[in-house]
Amino acid sequence: MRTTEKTFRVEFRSAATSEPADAWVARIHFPPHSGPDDNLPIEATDGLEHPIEDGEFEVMGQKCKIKSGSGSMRYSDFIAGIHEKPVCMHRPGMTSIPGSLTFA
Amino acid sequence: MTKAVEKDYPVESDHDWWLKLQAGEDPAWKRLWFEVIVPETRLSRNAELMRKYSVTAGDLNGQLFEEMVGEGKFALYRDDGGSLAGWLRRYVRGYIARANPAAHGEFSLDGTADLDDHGEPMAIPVEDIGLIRSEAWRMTHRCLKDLWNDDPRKAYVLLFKTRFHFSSKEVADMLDISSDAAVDQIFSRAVKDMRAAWVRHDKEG
Repeated sequence: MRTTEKTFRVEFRSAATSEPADAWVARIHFPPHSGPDDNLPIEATDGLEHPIEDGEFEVMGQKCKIKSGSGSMRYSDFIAGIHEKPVCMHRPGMTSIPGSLTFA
Repeated sequence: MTKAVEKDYPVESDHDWWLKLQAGEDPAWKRLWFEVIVPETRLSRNAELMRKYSVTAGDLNGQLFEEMVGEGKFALYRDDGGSLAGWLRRYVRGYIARANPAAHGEFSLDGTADLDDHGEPMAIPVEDIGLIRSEAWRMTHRCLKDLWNDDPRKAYVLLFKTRFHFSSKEVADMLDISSDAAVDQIFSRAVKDMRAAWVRHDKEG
């Protein structure tokens, strides 16, 4: 289990929201040659492209802490949750907004 | 034959290639990458437009996949001896020609490719291309969401192969799938599911 020599990222976006600030985008980055114990960096912004200061990004069966727009997930956890469907951004004091994988 | 060895994909008849592309077979799509996408991106005018409008070769491959597989346009190829690569390159050239995000379907001087492979002027779009493209993009994501809801792993396999052009072996290594053949099988099912979802959503309106 190892990533390629190329760096790439997958992007998740929230479902449509009435307020742009409620929307979110989260990107999981795959650094080159990452192995099971390596961390995959996550960046998360709201619909206004501001970093999400405090939240939890739920994906691959994990709830990843987001602080100042950044978080991470172990590569082995990503693989362990490969069949897990829920994708959601949880932020204190806000409604949790579901999302999905994109082709971006 | 030398080319096949160098590029690591089989060069077969256009008819067989066309059938295998529709079946989503990895070597067929690899050949498309090298014989359709790459040559177009190397043409200086296309390269200039791609730089100008931030279009990547991966974007072109994705658009071709959406249109050919998602919208079933492979069926429009007449299979009467005409060059399949030439036919596909016309589409790719059209995507590049219409890449100007400010054009919104209006005829754009910037986006006008001069001649096609046979030296004929390209057709001037009469539809609102911007609208069609955004609708196709929306529909693609709707279908991708369906695929995710069936099995996220399928969605990753489709994304990794069509968006990032990873080989089946690379996808197998990355997603901890038992073999290249298993990846091919998942990919083939994902393509079929995407196609079926597209037809279903299209009927729903």
